[in-house]
Amino acid sequence: MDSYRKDFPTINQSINDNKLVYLDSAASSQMPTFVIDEISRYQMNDHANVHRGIHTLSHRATTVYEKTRQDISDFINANNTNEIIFTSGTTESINLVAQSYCRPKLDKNKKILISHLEHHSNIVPWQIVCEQTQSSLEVAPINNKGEIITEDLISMIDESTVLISISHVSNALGSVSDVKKIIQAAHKKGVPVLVDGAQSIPHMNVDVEELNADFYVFSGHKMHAPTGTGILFGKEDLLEKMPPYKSGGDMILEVKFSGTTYNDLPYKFEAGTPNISGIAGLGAAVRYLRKIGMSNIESHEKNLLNYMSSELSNVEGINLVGTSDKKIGVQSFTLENIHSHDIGTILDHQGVAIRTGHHCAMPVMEFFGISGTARASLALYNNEQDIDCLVAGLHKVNEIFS
Amino acid sequence: MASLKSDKADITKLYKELIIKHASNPCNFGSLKSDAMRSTGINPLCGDKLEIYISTHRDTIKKICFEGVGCAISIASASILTKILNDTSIDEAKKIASSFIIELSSNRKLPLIDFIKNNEELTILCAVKDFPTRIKCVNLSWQTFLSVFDDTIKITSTE
Repeated sequence: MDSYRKDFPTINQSINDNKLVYLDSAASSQMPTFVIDEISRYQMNDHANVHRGIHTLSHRATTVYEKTRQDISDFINANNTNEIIFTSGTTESINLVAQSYCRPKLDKNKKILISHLEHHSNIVPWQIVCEQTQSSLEVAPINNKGEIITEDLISMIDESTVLISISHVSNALGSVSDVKKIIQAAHKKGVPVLVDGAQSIPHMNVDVEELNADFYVFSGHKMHAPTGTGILFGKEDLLEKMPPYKSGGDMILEVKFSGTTYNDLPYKFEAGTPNISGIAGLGAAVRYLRKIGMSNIESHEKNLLNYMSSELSNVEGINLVGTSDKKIGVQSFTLENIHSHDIGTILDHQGVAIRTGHHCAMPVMEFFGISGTARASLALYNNEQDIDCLVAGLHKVNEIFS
Repeated sequence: MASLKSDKADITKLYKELIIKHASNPCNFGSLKSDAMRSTGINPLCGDKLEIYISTHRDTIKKICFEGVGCAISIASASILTKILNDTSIDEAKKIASSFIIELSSNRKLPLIDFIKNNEELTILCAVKDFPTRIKCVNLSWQTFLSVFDDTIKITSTE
Protein backbone atom coordinates (compact mmCIF):
# COMPACT_ATOMS: atom_id res chain seq x y z
CA MET A 1 0.00 0.00 0.00
CA ASP A 2 2.93 2.35 0.60
CA SER A 3 3.19 2.92 -3.15
CA TYR A 4 -0.06 4.90 -3.05
CA ARG A 5 1.30 7.33 -0.47
CA LYS A 6 3.17 9.27 -3.13
CA ASP A 7 -0.14 9.96 -4.90
CA PHE A 8 -1.04 12.45 -2.15
CA PRO A 9 0.91 15.70 -2.51
CA THR A 10 -0.37 17.20 0.77
CA ILE A 11 1.14 14.35 2.76
CA ASN A 12 4.57 15.05 1.34
CA GLN A 13 5.58 18.21 3.16
CA SER A 14 7.10 19.30 6.41
CA ILE A 15 5.26 21.03 9.24
CA ASN A 16 7.15 22.88 11.94
CA ASP A 17 10.43 21.50 10.58
CA ASN A 18 9.23 17.90 10.85
CA LYS A 19 7.87 15.52 8.26
CA LEU A 20 4.07 15.79 8.27
CA VAL A 21 2.31 12.83 9.86
CA TYR A 22 -1.36 13.18 8.94
CA LEU A 23 -3.58 11.24 11.33
CA ASP A 24 -6.77 13.29 10.97
CA SER A 25 -8.47 11.70 7.97
CA ALA A 26 -11.67 11.09 9.95
CA ALA A 27 -12.07 14.88 10.02
CA SER A 28 -11.12 15.29 6.36
CA SER A 29 -9.06 13.14 4.04
CA GLN A 30 -6.40 14.26 1.57
CA MET A 31 -6.86 14.16 -2.19
CA PRO A 32 -4.68 12.18 -4.59
CA THR A 33 -3.26 13.90 -7.67
CA PHE A 34 -5.66 11.77 -9.73
CA VAL A 35 -8.62 13.64 -8.20
CA ILE A 36 -6.97 17.07 -8.26
CA ASP A 37 -6.10 16.55 -11.94
CA GLU A 38 -9.65 15.56 -12.84
CA ILE A 39 -11.05 18.69 -11.20
CA SER A 40 -8.49 20.75 -13.06
CA ARG A 41 -9.17 18.95 -16.36
CA TYR A 42 -12.91 19.46 -15.97
CA GLN A 43 -12.48 23.13 -15.07
CA MET A 44 -10.08 23.79 -17.97
CA ASN A 45 -12.02 21.92 -20.64
CA ASP A 46 -15.59 21.01 -19.86
CA HIS A 47 -17.16 23.52 -17.51
CA ALA A 48 -20.67 24.80 -18.15
CA ASN A 49 -23.98 24.41 -16.36
CA VAL A 50 -25.54 20.95 -16.30
CA HIS A 51 -28.87 19.83 -17.81
CA ARG A 52 -29.50 23.31 -19.21
CA GLY A 53 -27.57 24.24 -22.33
CA ILE A 54 -27.81 22.62 -25.71
CA HIS A 55 -24.21 23.51 -26.46
CA THR A 56 -21.25 21.14 -26.36
CA LEU A 57 -19.75 22.27 -23.04
CA SER A 58 -23.05 21.87 -21.25
CA HIS A 59 -23.30 18.37 -22.67
CA ARG A 60 -19.77 17.56 -21.51
CA ALA A 61 -20.39 18.93 -18.01
CA THR A 62 -23.60 16.92 -17.80
CA THR A 63 -21.75 13.80 -18.93
CA VAL A 64 -19.09 14.22 -16.23
CA TYR A 65 -21.76 14.90 -13.59
CA GLU A 66 -23.90 11.91 -14.52
CA LYS A 67 -20.86 9.66 -14.84
CA THR A 68 -20.13 10.27 -11.16
CA ARG A 69 -23.72 9.31 -10.35
CA GLN A 70 -23.19 6.02 -12.19
CA ASP A 71 -19.82 5.48 -10.47
CA ILE A 72 -21.37 6.02 -7.04
CA SER A 73 -24.30 3.76 -7.88
CA ASP A 74 -21.89 0.98 -8.90
CA PHE A 75 -19.61 1.65 -5.90
CA ILE A 76 -22.32 1.05 -3.30
CA ASN A 77 -24.37 -1.37 -5.43
CA ALA A 78 -27.53 0.71 -5.74
CA ASN A 79 -30.28 -0.51 -8.07
CA ASN A 80 -29.95 2.44 -10.40
CA THR A 81 -28.88 6.06 -10.58
CA ASN A 82 -32.32 7.36 -9.57
CA GLU A 83 -31.35 6.28 -6.06
CA ILE A 84 -28.29 8.54 -5.95
CA ILE A 85 -28.93 12.15 -4.92
CA PHE A 86 -26.09 14.67 -4.87
CA THR A 87 -25.99 16.82 -1.74
CA SER A 88 -23.42 19.07 -0.09
CA GLY A 89 -22.48 16.34 2.41
CA THR A 90 -23.70 13.92 5.05
CA THR A 91 -25.26 16.72 7.09
CA GLU A 92 -27.45 17.91 4.23
CA SER A 93 -28.40 14.33 3.37
CA ILE A 94 -29.65 13.71 6.92
CA ASN A 95 -31.51 17.02 7.00
CA LEU A 96 -33.15 16.12 3.70
CA VAL A 97 -34.47 12.83 5.05
CA ALA A 98 -35.54 14.45 8.33
CA GLN A 99 -37.57 17.15 6.62
CA SER A 100 -38.76 15.40 3.48
CA TYR A 101 -39.32 11.80 4.58
CA CYS A 102 -39.95 12.05 8.33
CA ARG A 103 -41.61 15.40 8.96
CA PRO A 104 -44.89 14.59 7.15
CA LYS A 105 -45.12 11.26 9.02
CA LEU A 106 -44.33 12.56 12.53
CA ASP A 107 -46.80 13.66 15.20
CA LYS A 108 -46.99 13.61 18.99
CA ASN A 109 -47.49 9.85 19.04
CA LYS A 110 -44.49 9.06 16.84
CA LYS A 111 -40.75 8.86 17.42
CA ILE A 112 -37.33 8.78 15.80
CA LEU A 113 -34.76 6.33 17.18
CA ILE A 114 -31.03 7.08 17.21
CA SER A 115 -28.11 5.91 19.38
CA HIS A 116 -25.89 7.49 22.01
CA LEU A 117 -22.94 7.09 19.64
CA GLU A 118 -24.01 9.63 17.03
CA HIS A 119 -22.26 12.67 15.59
CA HIS A 120 -24.11 15.96 16.21
CA SER A 121 -25.21 15.93 12.57
CA ASN A 122 -27.15 12.75 13.31
CA ILE A 123 -28.70 14.23 16.46
CA VAL A 124 -29.61 17.86 15.86
CA PRO A 125 -31.65 17.43 12.62
CA TRP A 126 -33.78 14.92 14.56
CA GLN A 127 -34.16 17.21 17.55
CA ILE A 128 -35.37 19.95 15.22
CA VAL A 129 -37.87 17.82 13.30
CA CYS A 130 -39.17 16.28 16.55
CA GLU A 131 -39.67 19.75 18.00
CA GLN A 132 -41.45 20.86 14.84
CA THR A 133 -43.86 17.92 15.08
CA GLN A 134 -44.08 17.43 18.87
CA SER A 135 -42.78 13.90 18.37
CA SER A 136 -40.10 12.28 20.50
CA LEU A 137 -36.47 11.38 19.96
CA GLU A 138 -35.33 8.19 21.66
CA VAL A 139 -31.69 7.29 22.19
CA ALA A 140 -30.44 3.70 22.35
CA PRO A 141 -27.66 3.12 24.89
CA ILE A 142 -23.98 2.21 24.40
CA ASN A 143 -21.67 0.08 26.53
CA ASN A 144 -18.27 0.81 28.08
CA LYS A 145 -16.45 -0.36 24.97
CA GLY A 146 -18.26 2.34 22.97
CA GLU A 147 -20.61 0.01 21.09
CA ILE A 148 -24.32 0.41 20.47
CA ILE A 149 -26.11 -2.24 22.57
CA THR A 150 -27.86 -3.78 19.59
CA GLU A 151 -30.42 -5.80 21.57
CA ASP A 152 -31.48 -2.71 23.52
CA LEU A 153 -31.85 -0.68 20.35
CA ILE A 154 -33.92 -3.43 18.74
CA SER A 155 -36.15 -3.67 21.81
CA MET A 156 -36.91 0.07 21.47
CA ILE A 157 -38.37 -0.35 17.96
CA ASP A 158 -42.18 -0.29 17.96
CA GLU A 159 -45.12 0.76 15.82
CA SER A 160 -44.58 4.43 16.72
CA THR A 161 -41.05 4.43 15.22
CA VAL A 162 -40.95 6.39 11.96
CA LEU A 163 -37.23 5.94 11.29
CA ILE A 164 -34.03 4.62 12.88
CA SER A 165 -30.91 6.67 12.13
CA ILE A 166 -27.53 5.23 13.14
CA SER A 167 -23.92 5.53 12.10
CA HIS A 168 -22.20 2.60 10.43
CA VAL A 169 -18.89 3.59 12.06
CA SER A 170 -18.58 5.99 15.00
CA ASN A 171 -16.56 9.10 14.15
CA ALA A 172 -15.36 9.56 17.73
CA LEU A 173 -14.47 5.96 18.57
CA GLY A 174 -14.37 3.98 15.32
CA SER A 175 -16.82 1.31 16.56
CA VAL A 176 -18.54 -0.55 13.73
CA SER A 177 -22.22 -1.07 14.43
CA ASP A 178 -24.13 -4.18 13.42
CA VAL A 179 -26.31 -2.24 11.01
CA LYS A 180 -27.36 -5.34 9.09
CA LYS A 181 -28.88 -6.94 12.17
CA ILE A 182 -30.56 -3.67 13.17
CA ILE A 183 -32.00 -3.23 9.66
CA GLN A 184 -33.36 -6.80 9.64
CA ALA A 185 -35.04 -6.29 13.01
CA ALA A 186 -36.42 -2.89 11.98
CA HIS A 187 -37.86 -4.22 8.72
CA LYS A 188 -39.69 -6.97 10.60
CA LYS A 189 -41.61 -4.16 12.26
CA GLY A 190 -41.91 -2.17 9.02
CA VAL A 191 -39.50 0.57 10.13
CA PRO A 192 -36.98 2.01 7.65
CA VAL A 193 -33.34 2.69 8.60
CA LEU A 194 -30.97 5.50 7.65
CA VAL A 195 -27.28 4.61 7.92
CA ASP A 196 -24.77 7.44 8.37
CA GLY A 197 -21.83 6.13 6.35
CA ALA A 198 -19.53 9.16 6.61
CA GLN A 199 -16.86 7.16 8.45
CA SER A 200 -17.38 3.79 6.76
CA ILE A 201 -17.39 4.63 3.06
CA PRO A 202 -13.64 5.35 2.62
CA HIS A 203 -12.56 2.32 4.66
CA MET A 204 -14.67 -0.72 3.76
CA ASN A 205 -16.88 -2.34 1.16
CA VAL A 206 -20.39 -0.93 1.41
CA ASP A 207 -23.17 -2.79 -0.38
CA VAL A 208 -26.52 -1.08 0.22
CA GLU A 209 -28.41 -3.97 -1.34
CA GLU A 210 -26.79 -6.54 0.93
CA LEU A 211 -27.36 -4.32 3.97
CA ASN A 212 -30.88 -3.62 2.71
CA ALA A 213 -30.46 -0.02 3.95
CA ASP A 214 -33.34 2.32 3.16
CA PHE A 215 -31.12 5.41 3.20
CA TYR A 216 -27.33 5.50 3.20
CA VAL A 217 -25.57 8.87 3.42
CA PHE A 218 -21.94 9.99 3.16
CA SER A 219 -19.57 12.86 2.32
CA GLY A 220 -17.05 13.27 -0.48
CA HIS A 221 -14.33 14.89 1.58
CA LYS A 222 -13.94 11.86 3.85
CA MET A 223 -13.24 9.70 0.77
CA HIS A 224 -10.47 11.74 -0.90
CA ALA A 225 -12.89 13.95 -2.86
CA PRO A 226 -13.56 17.69 -2.45
CA THR A 227 -15.53 19.28 0.37
CA GLY A 228 -19.09 20.34 -0.44
CA THR A 229 -20.00 17.04 -2.07
CA GLY A 230 -22.13 14.33 -0.57
CA ILE A 231 -24.54 11.56 -1.34
CA LEU A 232 -27.98 10.51 -0.27
CA PHE A 233 -28.75 6.98 -1.37
CA GLY A 234 -32.43 6.17 -0.92
CA LYS A 235 -34.57 3.28 -2.10
CA GLU A 236 -36.38 4.48 -5.18
CA ASP A 237 -39.89 3.76 -3.88
CA LEU A 238 -39.22 5.86 -0.77
CA LEU A 239 -37.64 8.74 -2.68
CA GLU A 240 -40.53 8.74 -5.19
CA LYS A 241 -43.03 9.47 -2.45
CA MET A 242 -41.01 12.20 -0.76
CA PRO A 243 -41.70 15.89 -1.46
CA PRO A 244 -38.80 18.15 -2.58
CA TYR A 245 -36.59 19.42 0.23
CA LYS A 246 -35.37 22.60 -1.39
CA SER A 247 -36.77 24.32 -4.45
CA GLY A 248 -35.50 26.21 -7.46
CA GLY A 249 -34.15 25.43 -10.90
CA ASP A 250 -33.56 21.90 -12.23
CA MET A 251 -36.02 20.29 -9.80
CA ILE A 252 -39.05 21.19 -11.87
CA LEU A 253 -40.69 19.91 -15.04
CA GLU A 254 -43.03 22.84 -15.57
CA VAL A 255 -43.58 26.06 -13.68
CA LYS A 256 -46.82 28.00 -13.93
CA PHE A 257 -48.13 30.50 -11.43
CA SER A 258 -51.08 28.19 -11.01
CA GLY A 259 -48.74 25.40 -9.90
CA THR A 260 -45.47 23.61 -10.55
CA THR A 261 -44.79 20.05 -11.61
CA TYR A 262 -41.71 18.56 -10.00
CA ASN A 263 -38.99 16.82 -11.94
CA ASP A 264 -38.35 13.08 -11.72
CA LEU A 265 -35.74 11.40 -9.57
CA PRO A 266 -32.98 12.17 -8.88
CA TYR A 267 -33.35 15.79 -10.02
CA LYS A 268 -36.36 16.45 -7.78
CA PHE A 269 -33.92 16.83 -4.89
CA GLU A 270 -31.18 18.76 -6.70
CA ALA A 271 -32.46 22.32 -6.96
CA GLY A 272 -29.97 24.98 -8.02
CA THR A 273 -26.68 24.70 -9.86
CA PRO A 274 -24.73 21.96 -8.09
CA ASN A 275 -21.04 21.68 -7.18
CA ILE A 276 -20.15 20.29 -10.61
CA SER A 277 -16.35 20.38 -10.37
CA GLY A 278 -16.59 18.84 -6.89
CA ILE A 279 -18.78 16.07 -8.28
CA ALA A 280 -16.21 15.54 -11.07
CA GLY A 281 -13.62 15.07 -8.32
CA LEU A 282 -15.90 12.73 -6.39
CA GLY A 283 -16.21 10.50 -9.45
CA ALA A 284 -12.43 10.41 -9.80
CA ALA A 285 -12.08 9.56 -6.08
CA VAL A 286 -14.43 6.60 -6.46
CA ARG A 287 -12.51 5.35 -9.50
CA TYR A 288 -9.24 5.75 -7.55
CA LEU A 289 -10.58 3.79 -4.54
CA ARG A 290 -11.97 1.03 -6.76
CA LYS A 291 -8.65 0.74 -8.57
CA ILE A 292 -6.89 0.06 -5.25
CA GLY A 293 -9.75 -2.14 -4.07
CA MET A 294 -11.76 -1.56 -0.91
CA SER A 295 -10.80 -4.99 0.48
CA ASN A 296 -7.10 -4.07 0.20
CA ILE A 297 -7.73 -0.75 1.92
CA GLU A 298 -9.76 -2.43 4.66
CA SER A 299 -7.13 -5.04 5.46
CA HIS A 300 -4.27 -2.49 5.34
CA GLU A 301 -6.09 -0.19 7.77
CA LYS A 302 -7.10 -3.07 10.01
CA ASN A 303 -3.46 -4.11 10.46
CA LEU A 304 -2.47 -0.52 11.01
CA LEU A 305 -5.19 0.08 13.60
CA ASN A 306 -4.13 -3.02 15.52
CA TYR A 307 -0.56 -1.78 15.46
CA MET A 308 -1.63 1.71 16.55
CA SER A 309 -3.84 0.54 19.41
CA SER A 310 -1.17 -1.81 20.68
CA GLU A 311 1.65 0.77 20.44
CA LEU A 312 -0.49 3.44 22.09
CA SER A 313 -1.37 1.17 24.98
CA ASN A 314 2.32 1.23 26.00
CA VAL A 315 2.38 5.01 26.41
CA GLU A 316 2.55 6.09 30.05
CA GLY A 317 -0.70 7.48 31.48
CA ILE A 318 -2.77 6.62 28.40
CA ASN A 319 -6.39 5.61 28.52
CA LEU A 320 -7.81 4.21 25.28
CA VAL A 321 -11.39 5.37 24.74
CA GLY A 322 -13.42 3.08 22.49
CA THR A 323 -12.21 -0.48 22.82
CA SER A 324 -14.63 -2.42 20.64
CA ASP A 325 -13.26 -5.51 18.89
CA LYS A 326 -14.92 -4.27 15.74
CA LYS A 327 -13.37 -0.95 14.89
CA ILE A 328 -12.25 0.89 11.80
CA GLY A 329 -9.65 3.58 11.32
CA VAL A 330 -9.89 5.45 14.63
CA GLN A 331 -8.32 5.34 18.07
CA SER A 332 -9.38 7.88 20.68
CA PHE A 333 -7.43 8.32 23.90
CA THR A 334 -6.70 10.57 26.84
CA LEU A 335 -3.46 11.12 28.75
CA GLU A 336 -3.73 11.36 32.50
CA ASN A 337 -4.03 14.98 33.70
CA ILE A 338 -3.25 16.41 30.26
CA HIS A 339 -5.93 18.22 28.28
CA SER A 340 -6.37 16.98 24.71
CA HIS A 341 -5.68 20.44 23.23
CA ASP A 342 -2.30 20.55 24.90
CA ILE A 343 -1.56 17.11 23.43
CA GLY A 344 -2.67 18.38 20.02
CA THR A 345 -0.48 21.49 20.10
CA ILE A 346 2.66 19.66 21.24
CA LEU A 347 2.13 16.93 18.61
CA ASP A 348 1.56 19.57 15.91
CA HIS A 349 4.86 21.11 16.87
CA GLN A 350 6.40 17.77 15.90
CA GLY A 351 4.48 17.63 12.62
CA VAL A 352 1.85 15.16 13.87
CA ALA A 353 -1.74 16.18 13.01
CA ILE A 354 -4.50 14.65 15.08
CA ARG A 355 -7.97 15.82 16.15
CA THR A 356 -8.65 16.89 19.72
CA GLY A 357 -11.81 17.80 21.60
CA HIS A 358 -15.30 16.38 21.53
CA HIS A 359 -15.33 15.44 17.82
CA CYS A 360 -18.89 16.79 17.42
CA ALA A 361 -20.05 13.91 19.60
CA MET A 362 -20.56 15.53 23.00
CA PRO A 363 -22.98 12.85 24.28
CA VAL A 364 -20.26 10.22 23.72
CA MET A 365 -17.79 12.30 25.74
CA GLU A 366 -20.40 12.78 28.46
CA PHE A 367 -20.94 9.01 28.58
CA PHE A 368 -17.25 8.48 29.32
CA GLY A 369 -17.20 11.41 31.76
CA ILE A 370 -14.59 13.40 29.80
CA SER A 371 -14.62 16.75 27.99
CA GLY A 372 -12.77 15.40 24.98
CA THR A 373 -10.19 13.00 23.63
CA ALA A 374 -7.21 13.01 21.34
CA ARG A 375 -8.13 11.04 18.21
CA ALA A 376 -5.73 9.54 15.69
CA SER A 377 -7.45 8.39 12.51
CA LEU A 378 -6.16 6.47 9.53
CA ALA A 379 -6.48 6.41 5.77
CA LEU A 380 -4.97 4.30 3.02
CA TYR A 381 -1.83 6.48 2.86
CA ASN A 382 -0.77 5.94 6.48
CA ASN A 383 1.96 3.50 7.51
CA GLU A 384 3.65 2.15 10.63
CA GLN A 385 6.21 4.95 10.65
CA ASP A 386 3.33 7.41 11.13
CA ILE A 387 2.25 5.52 14.23
CA ASP A 388 5.84 5.45 15.51
CA CYS A 389 6.01 9.26 15.11
CA LEU A 390 2.72 9.61 17.02
CA VAL A 391 3.99 7.46 19.86
CA ALA A 392 7.31 9.34 19.99
CA GLY A 393 5.32 12.57 20.04
CA LEU A 394 3.25 11.38 22.99
CA HIS A 395 6.41 10.48 24.91
CA LYS A 396 7.47 14.08 24.33
CA VAL A 397 4.11 15.34 25.65
CA ASN A 398 4.58 13.27 28.79
CA GLU A 399 8.14 14.53 29.15
CA ILE A 400 7.03 18.18 28.92
CA PHE A 401 4.30 17.63 31.50
CA SER A 402 6.45 15.54 33.84
CA MET B 1 9.37 18.00 -0.42
CA ALA B 2 7.84 21.37 0.36
CA SER B 3 9.60 22.83 3.35
CA LEU B 4 9.15 26.11 5.12
CA LYS B 5 11.59 26.81 7.92
CA SER B 6 9.62 27.50 11.06
CA ASP B 7 10.53 30.50 13.19
CA LYS B 8 7.85 29.75 15.75
CA ALA B 9 8.39 30.08 19.47
CA ASP B 10 9.67 26.91 21.11
CA ILE B 11 6.58 25.13 22.42
CA THR B 12 8.55 23.06 24.91
CA LYS B 13 10.05 26.19 26.42
CA LEU B 14 6.66 27.92 26.57
CA TYR B 15 5.08 25.00 28.39
CA LYS B 16 8.01 24.30 30.68
CA GLU B 17 8.82 27.89 31.63
CA LEU B 18 5.33 29.17 32.17
CA ILE B 19 2.25 27.14 31.31
CA ILE B 20 2.76 24.03 33.41
CA LYS B 21 3.84 25.98 36.48
CA HIS B 22 0.56 27.90 36.48
CA ALA B 23 -1.71 25.12 35.20
CA SER B 24 -0.60 22.59 37.81
CA ASN B 25 -0.85 25.03 40.70
CA PRO B 26 -2.96 28.01 39.59
CA CYS B 27 -2.97 31.27 41.53
CA ASN B 28 -6.25 32.40 43.08
CA PHE B 29 -8.18 29.28 42.12
CA GLY B 30 -11.54 29.26 43.87
CA SER B 31 -14.70 31.30 44.30
CA LEU B 32 -15.77 34.38 46.25
CA LYS B 33 -18.92 34.73 48.25
CA SER B 34 -22.18 35.48 46.53
CA ASP B 35 -22.08 39.29 46.69
CA ALA B 36 -18.92 39.41 44.56
CA MET B 37 -19.08 40.50 40.93
CA ARG B 38 -18.77 37.52 38.62
CA SER B 39 -18.88 36.45 35.01
CA THR B 40 -18.86 33.19 33.05
CA GLY B 41 -16.80 32.45 29.96
CA ILE B 42 -17.05 29.46 27.66
CA ASN B 43 -15.27 28.15 24.62
CA PRO B 44 -18.06 26.06 23.06
CA LEU B 45 -15.78 24.32 20.57
CA CYS B 46 -13.56 22.76 23.22
CA GLY B 47 -15.77 22.81 26.30
CA ASP B 48 -13.58 25.11 28.41
CA LYS B 49 -15.56 26.95 31.07
CA LEU B 50 -14.31 29.61 33.49
CA GLU B 51 -15.95 31.65 36.20
CA ILE B 52 -14.24 34.86 37.31
CA TYR B 53 -15.07 36.51 40.66
CA ILE B 54 -14.09 40.03 41.68
CA SER B 55 -14.53 42.03 44.84
CA THR B 56 -13.77 45.75 44.71
CA HIS B 57 -13.24 48.56 47.15
CA ARG B 58 -13.91 52.01 45.72
CA ASP B 59 -12.17 51.93 42.29
CA THR B 60 -9.74 49.14 43.08
CA ILE B 61 -9.86 45.37 42.60
CA LYS B 62 -9.28 43.95 46.07
CA LYS B 63 -9.63 40.27 45.29
CA ILE B 64 -9.95 38.35 42.03
CA CYS B 65 -10.21 34.59 41.63
CA PHE B 66 -11.39 32.03 39.14
CA GLU B 67 -12.51 28.45 38.86
CA GLY B 68 -13.34 26.17 35.98
CA VAL B 69 -12.05 23.56 33.56
CA GLY B 70 -9.84 23.93 30.54
CA CYS B 71 -6.57 23.10 28.86
CA ALA B 72 -3.26 24.00 30.47
CA ILE B 73 -2.98 27.18 28.40
CA SER B 74 -6.40 28.53 29.38
CA ILE B 75 -5.91 27.71 33.07
CA ALA B 76 -2.41 29.23 33.06
CA SER B 77 -3.69 32.37 31.36
CA ALA B 78 -6.45 32.80 33.96
CA SER B 79 -3.96 32.19 36.75
CA ILE B 80 -1.60 34.88 35.40
CA LEU B 81 -4.53 37.28 34.97
CA THR B 82 -5.59 36.99 38.60
CA LYS B 83 -2.01 37.31 39.79
CA ILE B 84 -1.44 40.48 37.79
CA LEU B 85 -4.72 42.30 38.27
CA ASN B 86 -5.11 41.88 42.01
CA ASP B 87 -4.90 45.22 43.72
CA THR B 88 -4.94 47.34 40.57
CA SER B 89 -7.46 50.06 39.79
CA ILE B 90 -10.41 48.90 37.73
CA ASP B 91 -9.57 51.37 34.94
CA GLU B 92 -5.95 50.23 34.77
CA ALA B 93 -6.96 46.56 34.85
CA LYS B 94 -9.42 47.04 31.99
CA LYS B 95 -6.75 48.88 30.00
CA ILE B 96 -4.24 46.06 30.51
CA ALA B 97 -6.79 43.39 29.58
CA SER B 98 -7.91 45.24 26.43
CA SER B 99 -4.33 45.85 25.29
CA PHE B 100 -3.39 42.24 25.89
CA ILE B 101 -6.38 40.96 23.87
CA ILE B 102 -5.54 43.35 21.02
CA GLU B 103 -1.90 42.29 21.12
CA LEU B 104 -2.87 38.60 20.93
CA SER B 105 -5.35 39.11 18.12
CA SER B 106 -3.24 41.36 15.96
CA ASN B 107 -1.25 40.00 13.06
CA ARG B 108 1.15 42.88 13.30
CA LYS B 109 3.87 43.35 15.84
CA LEU B 110 2.49 46.28 17.80
CA PRO B 111 4.53 48.21 20.30
CA LEU B 112 3.58 46.62 23.62
CA ILE B 113 2.20 48.87 26.30
CA ASP B 114 4.66 49.32 29.09
CA PHE B 115 2.82 47.13 31.55
CA ILE B 116 2.90 44.09 29.25
CA LYS B 117 6.45 44.82 28.17
CA ASN B 118 7.60 45.01 31.78
CA ASN B 119 5.78 41.87 32.88
CA GLU B 120 7.86 38.82 32.12
CA GLU B 121 5.03 36.29 32.30
CA LEU B 122 2.72 38.28 30.01
CA THR B 123 5.52 38.75 27.52
CA ILE B 124 6.18 35.00 27.46
CA LEU B 125 2.44 34.29 27.15
CA CYS B 126 2.36 36.50 24.02
CA ALA B 127 4.34 33.71 22.31
CA VAL B 128 1.02 31.87 21.94
CA LYS B 129 0.50 34.19 18.95
CA ASP B 130 2.69 31.70 17.09
CA PHE B 131 0.04 29.01 17.68
CA PRO B 132 -3.08 30.66 16.22
CA THR B 133 -5.41 27.77 17.10
CA ARG B 134 -4.64 28.35 20.80
CA ILE B 135 -5.12 32.14 21.01
CA LYS B 136 -8.73 31.57 22.07
CA CYS B 137 -7.52 29.50 25.03
CA VAL B 138 -5.50 32.46 26.30
CA ASN B 139 -8.17 35.03 25.46
CA LEU B 140 -11.03 33.32 27.29
CA SER B 141 -10.15 34.55 30.79
CA TRP B 142 -9.25 38.07 29.65
CA GLN B 143 -12.52 38.51 27.74
CA THR B 144 -14.44 37.07 30.67
CA PHE B 145 -12.68 39.49 33.00
CA LEU B 146 -13.78 42.48 30.88
CA SER B 147 -17.35 41.19 30.76
CA VAL B 148 -17.57 41.40 34.56
CA PHE B 149 -17.86 45.17 34.07
CA ASP B 150 -20.23 44.97 31.10
CA ASP B 151 -23.85 44.41 32.09
CA THR B 152 -24.86 43.68 28.49
CA ILE B 153 -22.86 40.41 28.41
CA LYS B 154 -24.37 37.44 30.22
CA ILE B 155 -21.94 34.75 29.11
CA THR B 156 -18.72 35.41 27.25
CA SER B 157 -18.07 33.06 24.35
CA THR B 158 -14.91 32.83 22.29
CA GLU B 159 -17.00 31.94 19.21
